[in-house]
Amino acid sequence: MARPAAAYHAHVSVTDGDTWPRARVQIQVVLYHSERWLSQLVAGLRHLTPVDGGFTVAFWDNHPGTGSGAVPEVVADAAFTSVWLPSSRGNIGFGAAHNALAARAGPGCEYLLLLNPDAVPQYDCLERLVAAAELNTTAALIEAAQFPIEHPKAYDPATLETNWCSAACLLVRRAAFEELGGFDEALFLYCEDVDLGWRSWLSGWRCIYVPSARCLHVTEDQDLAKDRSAELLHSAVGHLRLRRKYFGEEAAVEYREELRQHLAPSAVEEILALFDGLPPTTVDRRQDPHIVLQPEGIYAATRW
Amino acid sequence: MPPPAGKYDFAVDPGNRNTTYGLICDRVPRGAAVLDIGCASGNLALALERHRGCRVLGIDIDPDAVTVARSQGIDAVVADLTVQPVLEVVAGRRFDVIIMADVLEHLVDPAGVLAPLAALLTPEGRVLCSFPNITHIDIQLMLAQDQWRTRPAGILDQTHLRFFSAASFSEMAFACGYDVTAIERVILPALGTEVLDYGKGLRLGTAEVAALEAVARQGNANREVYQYVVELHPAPERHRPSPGLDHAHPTPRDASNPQIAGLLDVVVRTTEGRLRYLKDALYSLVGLTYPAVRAIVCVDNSSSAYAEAVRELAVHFQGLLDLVVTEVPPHHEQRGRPLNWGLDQAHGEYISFLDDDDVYYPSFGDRLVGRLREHPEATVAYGIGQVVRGDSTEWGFRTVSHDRRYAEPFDRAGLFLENYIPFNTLVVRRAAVVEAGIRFDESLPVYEDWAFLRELAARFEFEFVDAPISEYRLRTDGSNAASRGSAVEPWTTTLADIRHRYGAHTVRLSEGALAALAESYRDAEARHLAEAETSEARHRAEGDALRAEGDALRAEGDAHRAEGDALRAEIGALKAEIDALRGELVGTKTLIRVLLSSRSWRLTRPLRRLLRSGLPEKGPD
Repeated sequence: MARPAAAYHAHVSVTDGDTWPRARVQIQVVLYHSERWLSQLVAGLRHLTPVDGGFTVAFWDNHPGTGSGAVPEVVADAAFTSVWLPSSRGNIGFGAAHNALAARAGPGCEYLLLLNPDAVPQYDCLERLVAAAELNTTAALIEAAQFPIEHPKAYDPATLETNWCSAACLLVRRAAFEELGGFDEALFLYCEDVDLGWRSWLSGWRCIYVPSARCLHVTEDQDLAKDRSAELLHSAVGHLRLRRKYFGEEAAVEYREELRQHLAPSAVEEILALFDGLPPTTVDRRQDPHIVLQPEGIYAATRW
Repeated sequence: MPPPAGKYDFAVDPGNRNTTYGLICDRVPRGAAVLDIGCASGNLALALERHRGCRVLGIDIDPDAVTVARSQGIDAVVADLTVQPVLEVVAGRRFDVIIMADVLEHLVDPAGVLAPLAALLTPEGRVLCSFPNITHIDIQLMLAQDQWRTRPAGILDQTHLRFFSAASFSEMAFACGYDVTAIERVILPALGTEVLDYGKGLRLGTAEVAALEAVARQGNANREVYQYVVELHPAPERHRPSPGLDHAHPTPRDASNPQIAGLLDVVVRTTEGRLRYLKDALYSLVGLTYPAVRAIVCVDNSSSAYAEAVRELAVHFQGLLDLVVTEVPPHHEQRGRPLNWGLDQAHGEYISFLDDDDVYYPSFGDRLVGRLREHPEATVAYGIGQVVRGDSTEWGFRTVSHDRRYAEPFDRAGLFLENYIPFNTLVVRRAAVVEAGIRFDESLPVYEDWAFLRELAARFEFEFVDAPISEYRLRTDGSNAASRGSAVEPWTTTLADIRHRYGAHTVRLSEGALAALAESYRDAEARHLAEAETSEARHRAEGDALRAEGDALRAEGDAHRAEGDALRAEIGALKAEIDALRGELVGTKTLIRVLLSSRSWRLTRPLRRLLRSGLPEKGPD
């Protein structure tokens, strides 16, 4: 993919692929109105215990413009190498932004650490994730535990295997990510991580959960004034897509009916307009036991 | 004529709380019997006699000083306590207060002098010691510049033989059989002492700036303490409450800590071996969306190695969390001690408490402080505590399941019966607590939090926030309870004691609080009465309805019975009719047979034809 040099701002002088900072781990953060979290995130990244081969940090800003001017300033001060790319195409979505960053990772990069801007990894988090990845060479996705409000994470305490991994703080084996073709970009927000997990299992990779690697996640459902409509909208579209992709058209139709029963007609209309615009991809799930639908379709929002 | 001033004759300014003598004077009860060891020319003794009506006996090693003291009217004797037993010197007298102001650092064996003093104290008696702080930042700056200079007076007085920090002094006091019940501080800011030669308008070199920054980064709250004033009480044999021993309330402290508006101070209590849990607790404070938070980590009853490990952990929070690490002086397993210690270090407008193995949720500060701001009349805001069960692992706590939630709306009377407010779910206005003199009861081995809450409830308004704001983490291996001794006994005896001690009659209730308590009882009674009346009326109505229904059913039954009787009668009549008909039929058949047996075919032929066409061949017999 050709990249115009003027399209991104960098703290190391990046003008083409050759000068993109090289490290064994690329930490990638997708920003969207995330200014208020940034200084905390950068402070947290400063304290990460070094890993062999080092790490670099890449930011993708899905909403460059007002307020984001602070982003490079905060990051420039940090003790690690970083690059910052403002999206030239507006908000391209969560998965697409991560794909764009992953595509630019340097040649020696073995792992991608996908990190939410409202997360702060504990100082030994990356170290523990990389150690787990090296012990479990068939694991494509290696998920950190989120706290203090944990996802109701079902996993096998002996093998650490889990059906899918949340992308809020997720170490991804780069070779696997490339083999899988990255995130499904038709999923704008939510459920792209569920989809990536299921496709990992179908391709012979494993998903694991590492409870000792811990990441503070200032979950926004604690935010008192938060408007939840966007979350609802994209969760519903994502769930419809997962149903059609893995369980067929009837499963999607069934869920359409459920939505009609529970939501206002205008909301249903908005959801279906988005969903009907998506390509009708299907995948043979081959009765894989890891591919299980969640009844409400909200994979990450159900918390204890 | 004023007495000639000796080297250790300091002026006494009883109202000034940033001087050693001022702090000591404040801690001596009026009319107390006082022993002033190292009285010098008697300035402090004189101030105590004049301002607080005390009777003072002074002891000093310097005969000239004692002569001057006597000339001021002080009862003073010359003695060297390092060779002469103190019991002999005071000849059997007992004292409410024994003062050693800047004395112990001059002695070869300070513990040998300090330990026997306990025997001279009245039952409520205390020892007050002051000493210079060897960890003052000026000393650190001097050492950072590779220098060492003693001085005629001050922290590095040429005659000092011993050097103390708050912790090392407390360790010595502990070894001598005392509990440190209060520590006061005289503050002199960096470069403000006699240690360095800098004058005003000094321009610091880069080395000094670097050293200052290095010290500031350690987050050590003691670095500007010039002198400590420490209050000691002889440690009781066993630290469990008994009705006769009521030194339960440590001396209230005034609100002298300057207040920082909006700041939430979180007192984090941690103890040996729990670093792996503490890490989560501190990261959970990083996650608070409330903007002004400071953690005061009180390292309690732990080795210096553990304290060091906590400081190393704290380095990982630079830029993430305003954090102070402080060591609580050793004591005898009183759970209230580290909490009081933290309370005394606090400067925030708000204060909250967190144990090292629990965590706050991100909205903790916003929700609780927000509620206090909406309700100026309330002093305490608390929310829902989520109980979580999990495993203890080598790296920390692993969640297994979520359990019940502590979610009880405030009920003042209820709080006097049982504690339904977990201690990690609340925020308190600090000034209100300090002004009211509310402390943690250090004589309680457990339930110190409940006793504190009850004292708060006796005076202040509470606000309940109906949202989960923190997590109480229960480890499935039972190590929560085991960490403080697993016996059930202290819990049950303390429960009985706490009910006795803090029952509605003994708690110092203000009139307003009493009225509020009475009001809440009245409300509850009225509510119960109203509920009872409503339910009685409802039951009565229900009964009436049932009765009416029964009557209707009974009437219906009667009607059915009557109808049945009529039907039965009708059936009898029908049966009679049938019998009559049957008789008639038999007669007819007999007649037919008789006619058929006739020999006249004129008679029998039409009859047979008739029978073939319809009449039964055989009738009933």
